Amino acid sequence: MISRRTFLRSSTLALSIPAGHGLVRKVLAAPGGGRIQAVADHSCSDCRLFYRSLPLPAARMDIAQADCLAEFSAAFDDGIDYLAGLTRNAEFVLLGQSAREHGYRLLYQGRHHYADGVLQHSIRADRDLAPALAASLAGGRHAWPRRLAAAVPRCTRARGPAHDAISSAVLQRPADSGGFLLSWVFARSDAV
Amino acid sequence: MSDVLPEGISPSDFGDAVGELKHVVGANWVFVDAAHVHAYYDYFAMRDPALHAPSAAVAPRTVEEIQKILAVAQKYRIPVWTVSTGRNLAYGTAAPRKPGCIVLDLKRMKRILEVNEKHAYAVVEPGVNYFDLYNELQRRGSKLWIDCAAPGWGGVVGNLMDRGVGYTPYGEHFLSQCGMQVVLADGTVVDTALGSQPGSAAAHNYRYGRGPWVDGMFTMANFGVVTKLGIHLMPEPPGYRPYMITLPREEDIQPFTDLLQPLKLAMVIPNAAVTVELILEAAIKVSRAQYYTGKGPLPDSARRKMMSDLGIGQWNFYGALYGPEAVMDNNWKLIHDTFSQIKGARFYFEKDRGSEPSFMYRSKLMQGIPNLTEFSFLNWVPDGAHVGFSPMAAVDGKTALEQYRLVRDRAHEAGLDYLGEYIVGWRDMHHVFVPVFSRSDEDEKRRVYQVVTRLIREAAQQGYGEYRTHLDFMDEVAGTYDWNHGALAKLNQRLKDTLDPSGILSPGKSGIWPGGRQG
Repeated sequence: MISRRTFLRSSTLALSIPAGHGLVRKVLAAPGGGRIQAVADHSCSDCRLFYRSLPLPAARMDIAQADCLAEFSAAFDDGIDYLAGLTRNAEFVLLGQSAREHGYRLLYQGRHHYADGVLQHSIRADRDLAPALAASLAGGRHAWPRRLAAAVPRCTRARGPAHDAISSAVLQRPADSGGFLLSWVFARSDAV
Repeated sequence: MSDVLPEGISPSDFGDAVGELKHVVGANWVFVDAAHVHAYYDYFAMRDPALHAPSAAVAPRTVEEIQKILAVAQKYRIPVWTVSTGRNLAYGTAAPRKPGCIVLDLKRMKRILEVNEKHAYAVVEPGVNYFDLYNELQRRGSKLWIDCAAPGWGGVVGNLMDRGVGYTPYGEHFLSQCGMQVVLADGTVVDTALGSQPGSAAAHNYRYGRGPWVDGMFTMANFGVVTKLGIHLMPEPPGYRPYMITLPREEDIQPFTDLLQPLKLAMVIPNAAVTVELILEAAIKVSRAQYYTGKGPLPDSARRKMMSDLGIGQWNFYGALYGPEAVMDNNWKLIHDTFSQIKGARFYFEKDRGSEPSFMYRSKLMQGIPNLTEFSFLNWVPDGAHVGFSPMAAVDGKTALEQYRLVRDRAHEAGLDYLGEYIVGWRDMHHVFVPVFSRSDEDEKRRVYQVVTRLIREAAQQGYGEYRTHLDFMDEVAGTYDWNHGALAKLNQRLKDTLDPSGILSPGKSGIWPGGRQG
């Protein structure tokens, strides 16, 4: 008999992510308990820096290129508490849709948009987090992914994307970037 | 709890209905909390998502449970909106046409009931997606291929019921349908065609049976809930060779299509091939910002640079050879000689472009390997989303160029890029225009909505009808099929009112409303 969790998972079984880009992932221990599945787009230097800088101890680490969302479905099925990442839009759409169908909800979302020599960070989180993180990322300049990674533990405690904050820094788009990235944290509904 | 209720239903009655649904399927399979219900919203909505917000969702496992769910719907007069996997982001995801419907989510009905290797078919329930069927065939070591839509997470039944297409020689999905089981609004279960004969020995070999053949009536309609479907599968050919042809000029679509037509008709090119316009081809790999940061459509200078950087054409044709080596060699000579008549046409095989994301995923699709790579074009703009405008065309060069120019010009007038392709079937072309817009840009969403609305009208004036459309445009598109004072719509209405007099099944689907009343 199919379980409820398997049903929710079933729609994402063995889904390939967009090819040629590749996601990397690892499981981290969340500060307040629980586990975080961290994900990043391997093809982009900003994302790689974010991934390398994640501060939490890895409960399990897999830096092999994942080319299949089944990996993430398995994480859902395993009851992973949080899903956190820095990716391009397409990966966010696919993973986000899957996460919502599993009953996960968005705690935090950041848009990182290079345009006309400026990188704009649009942060949507709770009132305590959004302005502070936006300012921190802008201050980090080209190392903003490192600061974002450092904020992931805090993002898992965010109360939802209710408040917007925007910051910007003069910064050119890296050559390997499409110019737009999304950072996000989803939480299992009963994990928060 | 979702804050949306079915029209005319009190919170108390809704609560009672939900309670009865829980009794039918179990509490775990009725979704009323906002987080879960939100997953059934139209994620790429151009307008207020509340216009298509469901009140709840219910996920049955069996035909008997569907019968009981429909009985509850009848009792409370609460309409249900049926989805198999509900994953077509371009046409509305799992969201209902009318707000307040309960989504009848069939994803839980995931059984592959039969795989017949000898006669090359499968029988599946509506929750089976392309990955499921492909993986099951792989597990069995089957020598059968599926044909899948580009978004491989789609449902085999759902896509076929919406008359979707794939890319192998079995690309016209409804042509491969053979045998169907339907639950009617009153709970009656009908097996169609030969399947209606007890013990039928060829229900999935011969699709018609005797008497009126009703299967098509249930596609893109709201006359019943399909719970089982036979689907013909393609025997693995002895050889497979995907190829790509690039064309340097926009106007090349005309001679190319005219040269293509006899090759398609004679099945020298047997698969549902695609002629992809420049930006859609490029967007699999790059973003708009890498070539242009201004407003309005991509300028010619940026288009030329993109062509040069990526080694692609204004049009990019993907086809495949199937069969023994000698047959493929022979067909390729004919194909190459034919299209070499177009100045600047360039020809590529896997050895030339096998590492390119576009070639890789197209190659997979043309041999029925599901994937999701096509979604990469969502990276074209920040927060990218898309909708589909899909007029049909004959395989005719003049038509292809005219239709392209019509859509391109309207897109450009609205400040949008044209992203699109022609999916070339046996005798027809699905022209799929996929305007990409930013989910965070309200003005852009409004312009996309307006341009599609305008195109529906103008295309119809030129004799082009859409084969499929987003929730927002179902009434408009239905309204263009209005010959003889809307005789077809009136027939559909009579069928609806006869088969579903309470109007509980997917109201508004394809512009068909209970009692003719728009919701």
